[in-house]
Formats: sequence, structure tokens, C-alpha cells
Amino acid sequence: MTVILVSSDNQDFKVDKEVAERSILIKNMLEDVGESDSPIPLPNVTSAVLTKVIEYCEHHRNDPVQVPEETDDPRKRSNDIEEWDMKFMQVDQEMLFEIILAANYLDIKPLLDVGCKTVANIIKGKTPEEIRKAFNIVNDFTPEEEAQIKKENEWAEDR
Amino acid sequence: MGRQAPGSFQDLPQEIQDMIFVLLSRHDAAVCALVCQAWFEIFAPVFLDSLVSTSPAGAGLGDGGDVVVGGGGGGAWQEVRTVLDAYQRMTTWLLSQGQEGGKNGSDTAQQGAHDEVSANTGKSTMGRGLLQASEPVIPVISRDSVEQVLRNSDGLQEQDKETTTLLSLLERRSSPSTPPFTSSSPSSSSSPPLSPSIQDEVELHLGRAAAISMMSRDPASVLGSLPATLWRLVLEAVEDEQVTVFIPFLRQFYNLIEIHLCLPVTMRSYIKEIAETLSTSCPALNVGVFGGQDLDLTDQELATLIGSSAGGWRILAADTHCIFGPLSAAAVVVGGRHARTLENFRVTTGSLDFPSPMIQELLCAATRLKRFEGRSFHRDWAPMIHISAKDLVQGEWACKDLETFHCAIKDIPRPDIKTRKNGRPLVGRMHRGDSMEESFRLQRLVYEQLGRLRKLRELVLGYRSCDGDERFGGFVTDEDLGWEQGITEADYYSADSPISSSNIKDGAGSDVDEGNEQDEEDEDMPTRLLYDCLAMSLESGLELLRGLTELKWLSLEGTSHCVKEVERKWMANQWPGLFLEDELDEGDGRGGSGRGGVLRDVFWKRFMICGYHATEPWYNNWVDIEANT
Repeated sequence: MTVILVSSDNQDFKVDKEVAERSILIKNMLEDVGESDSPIPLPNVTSAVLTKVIEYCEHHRNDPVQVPEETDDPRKRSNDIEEWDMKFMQVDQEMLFEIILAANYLDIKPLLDVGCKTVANIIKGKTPEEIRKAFNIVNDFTPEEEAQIKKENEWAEDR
Repeated sequence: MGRQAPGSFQDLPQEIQDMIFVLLSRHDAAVCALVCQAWFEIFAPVFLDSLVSTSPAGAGLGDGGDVVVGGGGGGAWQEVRTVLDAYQRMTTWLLSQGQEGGKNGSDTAQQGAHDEVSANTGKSTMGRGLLQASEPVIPVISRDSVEQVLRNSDGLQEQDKETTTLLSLLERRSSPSTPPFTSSSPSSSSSPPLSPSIQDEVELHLGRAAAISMMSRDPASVLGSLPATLWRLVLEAVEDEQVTVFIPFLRQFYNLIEIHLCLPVTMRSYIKEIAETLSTSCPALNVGVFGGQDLDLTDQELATLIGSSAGGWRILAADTHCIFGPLSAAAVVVGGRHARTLENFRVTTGSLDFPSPMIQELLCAATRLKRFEGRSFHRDWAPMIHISAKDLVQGEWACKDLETFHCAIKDIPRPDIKTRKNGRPLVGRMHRGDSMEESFRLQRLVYEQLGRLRKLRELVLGYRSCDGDERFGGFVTDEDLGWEQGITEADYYSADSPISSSNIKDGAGSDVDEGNEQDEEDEDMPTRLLYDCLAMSLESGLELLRGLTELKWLSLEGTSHCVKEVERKWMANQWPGLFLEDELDEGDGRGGSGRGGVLRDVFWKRFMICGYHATEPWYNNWVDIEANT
């Protein structure tokens, strides 16, 4: 059985129900409407992003459903990304953020986790200047704050 | 797509940011906080929380102190948000220990402070050791003492540099939520303040640990106990001659960045010395707010004070109680030192004479300028700062980021204003010589200059004819002019109008057209009395402002009657949320001081000199333009 997803730019995507239901949002919608083949509009997701999201769901269609654990260690490690996921996440930053937002909106927890870990990995071990470059951020500290930072953060520069 | 792509980290929703935080080490969080302002806001609390959660209560989690968020689950962010508050409480507690806590911090003090922090994260008992002493002896909390307590807490042995940097940034920041002068009456001359509490003397809380606001009769003792890390000094309503002792103290504040001086007569003879001390001892000084306490500062005195920033002002404000004249203007403009650094400039005095060519020179050089404001609080009699259109069109302005421009544009030939009720043409020099084409050409050039300021939020287009000329008895209202008695708009426009004070006073408007022989003799009329602002019509180039998409506030000053329906419609269409300062405010008679909109930008709230205005209700009536639209 297939369902039709409609992206914000009105493109139709025909996907297996099993794949679509990796998204808890879609799963709930399908349960609510019952047997129906009317397309599901996803006004928050563009076709480019939706393509990526479906690719992810296709690959993980047989994964066991993640059970949220109450005892989950808050200090999750970000170095346990699967190799396929790591490659999958090698996209430009705009797309990375878009995927994260889409995963959040569609409620695809494992994808959201991978996205967050990817962002954390970009940040880790970098100096402030390297992070600015990575995220294209302008340093807008005032001159005296800047001086304060410069004076006191050689620790960050020579790591 | 209906929304913008999230180009940056801080655009991600809070819950997603939280998910990323828990993946970062304390070191990473510290690095992130130093990336930019927005990240500082996000990560500084996370970092501080890491300090708290590596305390004994949270040490169980530890793998080498690399823990970021104490306690898991969705409440984590809520918890870290409370840390800044915890920090502040800790400071308060330290102060209750008196100077001992400020200087050395005994073991018990540290432990107590530590308990207080833990209490706020819900892991320990609340309130132990809080505010035992009700009358502390001029406690001074320095960064060092706070830092020391944090570091000596268990689990915080390392003397890492990021702690130092972040704590010092945190202290410099967190602008006060209320201006210092709201806490007590500043007018010590009329009614002595009720034994000023210590909070009035020293700003004790986080971020103000190295800032002091003084309304003291005994400043020497307060100054003497301040740390060398002081970066903000507010000195006002001090009437004792003892205050002169503060000059030697100034030398030790080599970290001083911001100074507010409201100087009493007794200190006036020391102005030169003060300025020299500041310029030699305080190299980082770049925020200055100046005014006189009981008498206006003279132009020369103000100019001397303006000279006290060695590196150039970033923010410069002169209060109502001063004379800002050509000397002060030259101190700002000549040499280019301040033009390179100046971001915000405001003069609110009624005695304001910023020569037009100097304004132009400043605007052509000041690349960082965001606010340029010269409107007096006393607008019922005082003219605002103004630039001649003929200067304005000489060269392109460098201040591309200008957001606020409160400066009238004058000196525009207006041959179109020429009819009288009696049908006779006006013959003053404003009304002859230049053709309509020349007038339009000049106006279009003016609009082109303004139209390039894509970030402009506040603009004054009209010019209130409050020339202080006694013939008009100060500011001219419709009523004063006697339009109801038959004087026309054109009379009002006209500087060669025969209106005399007697005409106005006795309301004998019907006679005014008779005695107009003096029309021909008005060549000597000073230019500034002429009514020669922009026509504000579409045909004169108003539509060249269409690119100013950020415009939130537009003042027509006293000229709203010149703006016709078609222009009003155009404006409404162009700027849907625009606040048009239009008619005079009837609430206070002449629409003068401030309520109509002088004080619309909350930016300046922090940089007001107290003076007597603090007690005026309109003075504190700040309106945030953004919030309003």
C-alpha cells in the first residue's frame, strides 16, 4: 500500500505506507483518517528536503521502533553515528538545518537525533573563529569585549 | 516557501537547541559562548550550569568534569535558565558577609555561597545563610571574589581561562533592567534623600558588580572602595565639594568604559583636569553622557569633556543642561577620531548649534553611525538640529547603517509658497531667484541621499517653526497665528510675514495684511527663521524613499498640514505600521517635551542623566518601536 505526500511546492511523492510511517506525524494522520488515498499535504517541507527525508526513511524502513527510555543518559555521545547516516548527512548547512526542522516537524526521532549529533560534531573541538567560519557567523562583539576575549582566550586558539 | 530557511543555529527552535547542548562538553559550550552575541546569550547559561552541576551534588555524573546539563529530561533547559539567577543570589549572599566576603571569602562563605547555588538547582536546602546582615558596610563585590568562590567549590579546581573570560563578559553585560535613578529622589537640594540605601550607591548585582551609580553625599568613601575593574561610573546629583577627591580615584579605573557625569557648579573648575585624567588613565573609555547639574555646561566645557575619550566615542550623549555649540561640534567632528567609532549620538539640550557643514562632514565619515539625534526635550521653544540641503547633497554619506536620523533638513528654496490671502506675491529671498525646477532638483537629491539609508527606522522630514523669535512668542500654534482670525497658512509659511507680536497677542488678525510694507525689507531675516523644509510631496521626490522598508516612525514636526491626502495614502501604503508623528500633542498644550515621540527608542534609556527630569512622568515613558508595530 502506498500513500501520496505533497511537498510545500506541490510535488507529489508516492511512498510505501511502511516508509511514510517512520514519521509519527504521518502515522497518526493515517490512523486518524483511516483507509483513504487522499494525498497528505506537508506544507512545511520542500520537495528537496522531502526527497532526502524519504531517502532516510527508505533506508531505515526495517529498523525497530525506538522506545524512549526514561533512564536515557542525558550525555548522549555524538560519535555513535552509523556510517550510512554520516554519509547521508554530508549536505550543505542549509539542507542540514532543513532536515533537522523537517525531522522535528514530521516527528522522526532517529533522524532528528542524527541531525543534532551532526551539528554537535561540527562544533566540537573548534575555536570560536573556526565555528564562525563553519556557520558563517559574523563576530559582533564590541571592540572591548573582543579585546577581553582575545586577551584571555589563547587557550582556545592554540588547541 | 512561506518561511525563511534557518540559516543559523540560533534560528533553530529551543527544543532542538537543547538536544544539541547535551551533546557538548563544557569546554565546547564555553567556546560557543565566545562566537557571537547571540550565541553568548544561548551558551553562557549552559556554561554556567556546567559549573554548578560539577558541584558535589552533581559530581556523581562526572567523567572528568565534562558534564554540561545537570539532570536529564525535558526540564533541563528550564533548569539552566535559573542559573543566572542563582549566580545573582550568590552575589547577594556574598555581600551579606560584608567586606570579608568581597575580599577574601572565608571557607564558610564559600561553602555558603555554594549551597545557595545548589539550592537553586533544587539539590539543596534553600536560603541558608541568605541575607543575615541587614546593614552591610559598603560591600564591594568584585569579579575575583565571585570567581574565587566558584573555583574553590568542589569539582572546580581547574583554573581555566574560559571561566575567566566568560565571567568577565557576563559582568560587563546584563544591562540594568531599571535605570538607577528610579530608586530614590535625585533632587537632593530641595528634599534630602531618605538615608540612601547601599543599593543606590553601588550596583550590586550580577553584571553591575563593577558599575557604580552615585547619588551620595559622601562619595569619597564609596569611590575608595571600588575595584580597579570598574567599567561604568555614573556620577550625578552630587553636591558636596568633596567630590573633587574623585579625580585622583579616576586614575585607578583603567578599565573604565562608560562614564555619566552630571556636574555641579562646584566641580566645573575641574573639568579640564577630569578630561585629561580620563583621556590618559582610561584608554578604553568610549561611552560618555554629560550634563550640568544646576547650571548648563558651557559649549567650551562640553567640548573639553568630549575630548576626554582617547580612542573615540562609541556612544555620546549630551543632556538638556548644556550648551552644545560649534566648539562641541568641532570636538566631535574635527580630526575624525570619533567619526571612526561613533555609533550613537544624541543631544537633547535646547541650546543646540551644530553647524551644518560639520554635520555633513560627520555623516560622510562615520561608517558605524546608527543614531544621530538632535531634538530638544524643550521643543516648545528650542529648534532642533538641522542640516542645510545644500550641504547634504555634497558627497555621499558613509553611515549606511543609520537607523535614526532626528535632524531637520532646511534651506530648500520654496518658490511654490507664494500666495497670500490678499493675493499679493511674497517677495522675501526664499521666494524668488530659484525656480521650481531648481527646488525639485535639490529635493530629489536630498531624497536620494536619504533613500540610500536602507536601515532607517526613524526619520524627521518636516521642520517645526519654533524659532524662538519673540514675534511668535516662542512656538507658533494655529491659535497663536490666529488663523481663525483670517491669517492664512501662507502667512505661517512665510518668513516675510508681517505678523507681529501685537497682532498675535491681541488677535487682530484681520489687520495683518495692511501693514506689509516690511515685506520688501526682509533681506536681513536670518536664514534659520525661514520656513524652508522639504515639500514632502510625491512630485518633489518623496517616492524616492520607497526603499526604506524598515521605517517605523516618521515625524512631520509642525508641518503636517503641508502633507496632502495623496501623500498620506502613499505613506500608509508604503509603510503599513508607520507611526506618523503628525499633529501637535494636545495633551500638554504645545506638544512639546517628549510625549509626542522624542523618547521612542528604548536604546537611550540607559544613557539618561538623572537630573530633575527623572521625576517627570513623560521622561520614563519609553516606547519600544519594535514592540509597537
